[in-house]
Amino acid sequence: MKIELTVNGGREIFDVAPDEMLLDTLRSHGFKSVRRGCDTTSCGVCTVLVDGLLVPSCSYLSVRAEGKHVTTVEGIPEEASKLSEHFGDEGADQCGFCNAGIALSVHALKNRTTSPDEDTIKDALTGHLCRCTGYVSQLKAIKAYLKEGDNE
Amino acid sequence: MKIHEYHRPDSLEQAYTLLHQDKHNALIGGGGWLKLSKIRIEKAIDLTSLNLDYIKEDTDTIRVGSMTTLATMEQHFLFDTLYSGMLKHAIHQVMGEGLRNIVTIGGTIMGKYPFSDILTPLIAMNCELEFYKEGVLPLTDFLNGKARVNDILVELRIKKDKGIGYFKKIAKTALDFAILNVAVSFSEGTYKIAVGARPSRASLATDAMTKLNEKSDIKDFKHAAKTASESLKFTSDFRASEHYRRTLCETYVLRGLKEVNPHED
Repeated sequence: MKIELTVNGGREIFDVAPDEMLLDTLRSHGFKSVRRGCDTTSCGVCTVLVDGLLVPSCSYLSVRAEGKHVTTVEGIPEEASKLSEHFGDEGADQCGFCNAGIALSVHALKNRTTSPDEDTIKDALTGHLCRCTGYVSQLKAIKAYLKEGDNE
Repeated sequence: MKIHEYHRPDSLEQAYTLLHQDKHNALIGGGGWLKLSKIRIEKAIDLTSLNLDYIKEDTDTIRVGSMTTLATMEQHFLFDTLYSGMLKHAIHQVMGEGLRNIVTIGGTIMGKYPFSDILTPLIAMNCELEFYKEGVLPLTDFLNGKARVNDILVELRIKKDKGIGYFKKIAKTALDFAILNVAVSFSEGTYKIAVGARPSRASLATDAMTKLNEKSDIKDFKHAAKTASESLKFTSDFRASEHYRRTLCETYVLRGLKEVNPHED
């Protein structure tokens, strides 16, 4: 089946199977920041934005994305770079496997909330598994990143 | 999971006709749990073009279209105060935001998932389902019915009762399925106790409720909680033993009853 998607601002035609998930479509077309973790919606590493909404791409049928705007972390390079610096400062960047999904969740959080409190940030992190850090360093990094945004 | 053909009908009638063409044809709700299934679908019928994504209110009812996502419900003001926000509280604990953005209320109900955190508070309220051909059915009758309803769920109807609610999900981590779900409600003189993830599907603790709802000024909550834990069926699995679930049930039903008790000082 042929579907047209806008990925990170660029329109593309994809030939997909009826049961193909968006994760497979994106990865097979070079969007390798979208990773396969649990493959059952639990870990968050496959998170992308579809029309601005966070979705687990491992369980989102590609045909459902037809005509929609998909954003991967490659689509928010400046934000990802700034967040990455804060992750480095706080030692939150270890294996890095979960970072792309978390960056998109932080992007979505920033778009809908100004100066979120700690519980709101924790809520945004729920849905992302990180086996390296225990989340404290990530929480500190995200707070610092959002504070920097408030001061800009 | 294997899908051979994908269809996105424009009308309920088209969807219904497709569904009944072949027993291997199936409706797709949010699709969040599709991957966990080994189902082989000949024609997948996607309901996203049927305008079933809505939340409306009448004088005494909230009507939720079957393709409404859990995230939309979570963010809607109508659920802020309904039964003390019990349903909103339960939805908020369903894994992460991403999953809540795709899982639909219709898929949650039609799947009758035993691990569902949503069915437990729903049966502690006053809910009906409207099907395309079969009409209106109480939610509890649908969940308890053994026969498969081969119809399209159009909407969930929740009565806007003035009630108090309590919901507790007991799970090992925020992203894990529940070891037990407990919902307790009180509305217009009637208590309801619902227990889910036992690990079987959510059910009302009818024996405990019957005694509590007798016309008497004396409400023995401890006895009701014990009756709920003794009369419902619990089993063991890798998450928890039957005994542990029974103990949790008694404890949290008692806490729930105390919380919704209108006479509590």
